[in-house]
Amino acid sequence: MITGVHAQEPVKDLTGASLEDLMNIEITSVSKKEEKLFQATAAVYVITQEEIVRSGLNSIPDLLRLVPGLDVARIDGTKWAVSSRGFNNRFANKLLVLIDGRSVYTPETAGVYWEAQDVLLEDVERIEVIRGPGGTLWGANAVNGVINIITKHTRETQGGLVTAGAGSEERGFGSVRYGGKLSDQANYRVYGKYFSRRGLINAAGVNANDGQQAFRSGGRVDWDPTERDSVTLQGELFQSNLRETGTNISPATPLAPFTNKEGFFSGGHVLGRWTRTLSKDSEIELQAYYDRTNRDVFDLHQIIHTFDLDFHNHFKMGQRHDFIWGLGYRVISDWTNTTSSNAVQYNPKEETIQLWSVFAQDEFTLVKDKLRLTLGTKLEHDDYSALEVQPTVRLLWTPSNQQTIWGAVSRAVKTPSRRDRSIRVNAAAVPTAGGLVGIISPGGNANTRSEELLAFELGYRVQPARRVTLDIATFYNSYDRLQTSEPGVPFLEIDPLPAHLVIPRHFANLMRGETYGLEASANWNATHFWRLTGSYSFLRMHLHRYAESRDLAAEKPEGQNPRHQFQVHSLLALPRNFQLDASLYQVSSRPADLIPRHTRLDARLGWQPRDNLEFSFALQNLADNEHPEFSGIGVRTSQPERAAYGKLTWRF
Amino acid sequence: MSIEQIGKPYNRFIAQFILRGLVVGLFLASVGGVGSVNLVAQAPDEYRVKAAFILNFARFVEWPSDSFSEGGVLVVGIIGDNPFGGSLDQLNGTTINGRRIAIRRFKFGDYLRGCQILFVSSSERNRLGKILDSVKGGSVLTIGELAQFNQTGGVIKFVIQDYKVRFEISPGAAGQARLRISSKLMALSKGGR
Repeated sequence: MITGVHAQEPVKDLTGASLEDLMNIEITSVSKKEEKLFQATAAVYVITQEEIVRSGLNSIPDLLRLVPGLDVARIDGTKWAVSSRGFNNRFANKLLVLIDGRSVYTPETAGVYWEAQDVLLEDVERIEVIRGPGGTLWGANAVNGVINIITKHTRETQGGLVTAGAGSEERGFGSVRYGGKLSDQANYRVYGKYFSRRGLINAAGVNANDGQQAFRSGGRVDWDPTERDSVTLQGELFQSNLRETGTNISPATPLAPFTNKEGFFSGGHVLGRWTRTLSKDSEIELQAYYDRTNRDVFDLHQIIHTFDLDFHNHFKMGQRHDFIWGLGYRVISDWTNTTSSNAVQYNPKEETIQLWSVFAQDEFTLVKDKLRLTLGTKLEHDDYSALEVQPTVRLLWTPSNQQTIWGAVSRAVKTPSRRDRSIRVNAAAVPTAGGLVGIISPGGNANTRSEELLAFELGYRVQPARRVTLDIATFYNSYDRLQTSEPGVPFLEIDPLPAHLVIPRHFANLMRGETYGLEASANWNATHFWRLTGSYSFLRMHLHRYAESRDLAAEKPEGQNPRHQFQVHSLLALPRNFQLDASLYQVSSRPADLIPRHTRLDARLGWQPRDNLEFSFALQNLADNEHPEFSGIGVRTSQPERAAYGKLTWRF
Repeated sequence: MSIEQIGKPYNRFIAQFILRGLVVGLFLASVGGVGSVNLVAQAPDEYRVKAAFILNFARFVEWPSDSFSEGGVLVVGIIGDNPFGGSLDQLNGTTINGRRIAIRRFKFGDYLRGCQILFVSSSERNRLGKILDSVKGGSVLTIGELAQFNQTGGVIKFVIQDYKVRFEISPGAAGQARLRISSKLMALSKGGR
């Protein structure tokens, strides 16, 4: 074992060094921020602005492919399935996703409509992804992970930015941003972004006509009215048209074919945040936001209003305690266009619910710079679930500056969403013995309970050489009360006509399960102009229905998540300000859905003739002509094919 | 070929990959781990290098002769949190171009125009404009690291590129402070070629 590091010991007196010598000295490569990450007591990965640019990827869900172990699969031209540590599907519901502190998973299903989420990628500071439960600080839904997209302070986005590009799949995209000063203490930026994405191709190799267009525009002001206060105000409006292929089963149209229809998203938000430094060791923060989302697609029209209020206080007590506590309140009000002839219905069709939470966490230094214990818990209550307690215990051991060992035991819950309680889906029609049309209708259950997780995690990070870091995270998750869909007693229904037999299914919490796996990633700064990063992840899921469960498909997710994922990225800086970057992703099969293993290969050439001007050319999905990545529910899946685009970025 | 079969050779490949990875990893962790003590010790930390840069700036910048007080001492000030540890203090008493260096600490509100060099710590982010305004009219070589340092009126900004310390010079700000920066320093600065 390593006993200690003598980083402070002067090796050589630098005061006599010449400028040229100094310019050739490499400094310790771990920055303060990286050091903080290196000593995190959770499986954290950060996508930096550089990685965003050099990956050549254009959407938030696609960028999440960069995160070790995260499962990202394209379902069709506008839909993605994104999950961490299993349970992936279009409405994967065990992730908490935040953009600048605003929760963007839909309270409808607790999944994320990725097609409605976007930001000006050039203005993103970082995307922080925590795999594993983050329930203590972050609240419900942070069962298997937290994705935190953080945009830059307006101080960092002064001046103008114009990007424009076009390609085979990315038919056209562009953005404009301008940042300036309102006063010495206040900066602002305003921006707009547009993209038009062509659809993918269907299994027959024909254009699936499932593309999307989106426009968004917004702004942000950061103001420091005094030396102790900072205020942020931001807002955005967006709208998007898309096309998708689906089917709308009803008793009148039991044989409704898959048809291609237009869908529409729009919405906006305003957010305010005030931070006050009380003393060197203490600060308080108050945040409020309002968000409105309007989604009108082939099977449902809904409008959701969310108002959220958060307060937290962070302070140090003595030399050893770093304490944080907070309060949260959220009210969600939704409306749906439910009628009895819709394939997707909510009962009640409108609803308002409230949610309260309180959390506290103490980071306690047991041995200075060596051993740190984190204890925390969150208490949460909403109108539909009992008081939920989500505690965590985390231990961090840093035997040296180059090694970190951490472990955690946490409990997290996935509280029932609107869908879990009150949805009804007319999923399929079948002929019945009496000659009536039978409608198979899975649906919610007012008595749905929270799904529970007890997670055990162990991680190791090491910097074996100055240019190399390795990060390994392992986990064993034990779930209980997982959701199943149990058959109910068929009944006759006459609304809507014609009379039909409903073959219902109801959600129940009749399954337990274990998942385990590991995520390993490495970063090698081979030379100052060449960086290699890579990761491998492994996942196994074992699900066990209770004896009383009659849901024969409940255990199917075991085979819907890839067991192995592997990726490697090469970032190469060439002379004359050229960059040549390549990424290889391999994802193993999803046997339950007959999705074979696939390989994705992307390449990008960038050229910066001047400091403020960049041209880039990207090729995507080079490895094969087409491949399915996922098999969706209720929608016809389509496949990504080879694509290319060119892009210009100009700053002024 | 069934889906299960598609998976199998891949599994074997991956198993081998993990096994090799673990062997290499353990080797690096054990052997390399010990080696890294030396590596890190050899890699001076960022602020030792930056302190040495500051000394060199003093060497390659000419101040108007009327700007010195305190008996010709070259005052290097630092305002805000000190990121240098003891590295800057080590320069105290060193002689550059016949002038003795004196390291001084300042806090916001202090009189700063007596400095020849002023390092503005990143802790002063919210007051950067005020600090830089307060030395206007004097001949102070301001040095900082905040992203907007030079835009706000600072003279030299440190940046890190490929793990190496680089610096950007704002000739306008230098001219305003009546500082003459040697062509050599200009040439070595970012964008100076």
